Amino acid sequence: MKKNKLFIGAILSLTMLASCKTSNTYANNAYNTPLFETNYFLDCHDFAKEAGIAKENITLSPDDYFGQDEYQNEHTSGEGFSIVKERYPEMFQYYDKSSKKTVTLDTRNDWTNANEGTEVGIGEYFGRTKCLGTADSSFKSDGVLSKLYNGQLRCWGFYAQARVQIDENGFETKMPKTMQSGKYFLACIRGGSNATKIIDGREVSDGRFCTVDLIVTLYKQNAVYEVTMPSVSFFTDNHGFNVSAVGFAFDKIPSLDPKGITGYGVKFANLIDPSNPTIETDATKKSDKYFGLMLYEVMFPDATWGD
Amino acid sequence: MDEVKEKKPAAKTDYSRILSIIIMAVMFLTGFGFGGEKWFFLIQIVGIMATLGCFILVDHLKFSKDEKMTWFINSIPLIVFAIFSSFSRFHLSSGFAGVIMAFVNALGIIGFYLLGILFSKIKPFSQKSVLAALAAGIALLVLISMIASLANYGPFYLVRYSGKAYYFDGISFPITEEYTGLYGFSIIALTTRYGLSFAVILASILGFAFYLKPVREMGKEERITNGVFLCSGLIGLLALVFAMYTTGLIIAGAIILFSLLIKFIKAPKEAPKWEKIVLLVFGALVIIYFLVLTVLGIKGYTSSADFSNVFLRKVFANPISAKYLAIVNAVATKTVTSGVVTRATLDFGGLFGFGGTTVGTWATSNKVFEFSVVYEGGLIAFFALIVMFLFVIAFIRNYFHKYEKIEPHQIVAVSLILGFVLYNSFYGDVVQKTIRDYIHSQIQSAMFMVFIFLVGTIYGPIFKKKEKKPMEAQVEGGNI
Repeated sequence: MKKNKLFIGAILSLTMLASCKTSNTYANNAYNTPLFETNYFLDCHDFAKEAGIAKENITLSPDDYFGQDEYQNEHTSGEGFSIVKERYPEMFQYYDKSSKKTVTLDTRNDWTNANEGTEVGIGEYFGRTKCLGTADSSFKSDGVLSKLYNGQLRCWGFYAQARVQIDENGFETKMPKTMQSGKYFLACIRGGSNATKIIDGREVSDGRFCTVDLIVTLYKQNAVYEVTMPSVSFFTDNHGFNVSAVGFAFDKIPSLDPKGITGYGVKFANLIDPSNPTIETDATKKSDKYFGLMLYEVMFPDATWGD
Repeated sequence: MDEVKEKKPAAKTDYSRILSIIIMAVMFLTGFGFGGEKWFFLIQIVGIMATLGCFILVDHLKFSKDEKMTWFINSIPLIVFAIFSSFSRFHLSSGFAGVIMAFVNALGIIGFYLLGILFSKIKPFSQKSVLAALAAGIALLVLISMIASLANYGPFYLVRYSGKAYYFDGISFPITEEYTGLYGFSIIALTTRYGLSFAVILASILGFAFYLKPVREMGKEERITNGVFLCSGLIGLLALVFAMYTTGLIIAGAIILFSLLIKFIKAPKEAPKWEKIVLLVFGALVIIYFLVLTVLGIKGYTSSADFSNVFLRKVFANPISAKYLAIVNAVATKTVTSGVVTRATLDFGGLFGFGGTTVGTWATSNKVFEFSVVYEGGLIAFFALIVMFLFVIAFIRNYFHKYEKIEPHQIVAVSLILGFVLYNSFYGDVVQKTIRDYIHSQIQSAMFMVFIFLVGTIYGPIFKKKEKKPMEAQVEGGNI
């Protein structure tokens, strides 16, 4: 009898083992279907509401945030990093402990899915060296949003596997770790839509520039900050390589101490799409034309993390 | 002087005992897959040295010229296979290291085969013991992998998470396509087919239970070995049930059912003429089928759409043939350009495996173990393997007639062989890991060495140079 109990106990404990890989699962084709409007990541927390605290709204002036204007994008072959590199060159420096040398990181080449399980790119590519997944490995296991933390800054032929598509409501998420110190926020973005144009009787992508007010929410245990970067410009429907690096340095916001940030969110407002003025930006509304902001990476370069 | 005389026989016995223990340890570690792909060659080397040790150190292992000739004739397909599959373009492409590994592998195949034959002859342990050590090795591997998988996915995950994926580092991994398992010295995400293959092979042995006699009638060795077989088989079965791997359960179930069925088949000790003819005709048909398919592959036929002839389409247009055609086409043809005309022609190098630098989906999507021999070893090795399989069928028949009644450990040996061949013929996975993986050798692997050892274990000659009845009666398991 005692043996039977032991056996049943052993079986039960086996079946009740924590299933660490299956704690956060998705449908196999989640956010990766041929239908544009079904690929939005809709996980709309509202930290301020949930915590019952008022948001502190901060609107940055053009000198306080970096992005790419049309001219910059056109004259840098879509690299998308020219302004941030000009303003914050130290962000792209990396001290290599093994060679004891400081190197300038490459922003044109990226780590991709195909390099998984290797050290490719660390100490060489900006994305993989300073991404959240490299800064703290717990970000690698953060579900579908880990696409934003792996250092792949562009499409590189991975299409929806490389990006997170958001509507105007965006998303807010808690991070697996808490920021101990931070210098910058940076996101790699482009625009996307299911709108097309007809050329010579053929339906083709309508490559264009669009503009939005990009809103980044930063969440601390007892405070929520909503930082708005007005009139951020980016390529839309013009190749997944053409991303724009958009963001700001924390020292431009004196009222915000980055220590203690445990969550963030990204959303947008006031879309200006010259080709499609009435295009829908809310995924929950019915329309035949939708716009989405394509996020390839979210970074807090040179930040440190703790529990 | 007298003291020296007394010590000599004792020293001989010790060699047998030490060698038996070494062989059991080698087979335990082989079943366990010790060291993985990278370090398994060390076990192969120990196995080769143990084989040499048997011949050099065990005095009573003396064979007549006729016995050696019988052994040689019956082993020709295996020897041809060992040489061609090891010294192939595919394996030699990695330069000097490739040559060394090819040498170790060729000797390993022949060495493990001989170990299977010799183990029960060197005494003091019987064939049961080494099979128990082998089963225990596989069971330990399966047990560790099962616990790791339960921790990662929980029970019945293949059903519970059907159509679901998890993300890691921004990459989507379908849960049902992976199994966490021990691989070499680390626990990593393996493909489901590869990770659970050991559990399928292990669970297949459970049919031995139909042949058990009452415990009180068992000797000590029998009790221990049967206990090990039962625990090992149950661990394999548990791993399949916990994963809910229906394909594996069906294959293991079919082999267990086969074990039960042969209990009721009464076949004469000497194979009747009709049986030999059936096997010969069957063998000839299989070889002709693949020879014709090879010619078609070289001529450029790669899919059913290429067969305009109705007869060819009916006989050769099926998914299995399509796989073979694609592999032959990639391995044994080369493109020749004369003027503006480009055509495919025979590449004689195809007889010795794939010589290119990068393999295509014809290799990565291949799930038929035998076909992987075409690009790994070449066409000669492939046809040697087919003939070897035909020999194995005859060996199994002879093996079941070795004793008055079929013994439980015989079922274990045959079930392990059937489990390996049946599973890997349909679900063999050359891509074993889920992250950044490449083509793995199906031949230079621990499980293939287990298979070869078992072929040696069941060895019973088909072609005999001369009857050696006194020798057969003298040693257990002796068929040479």
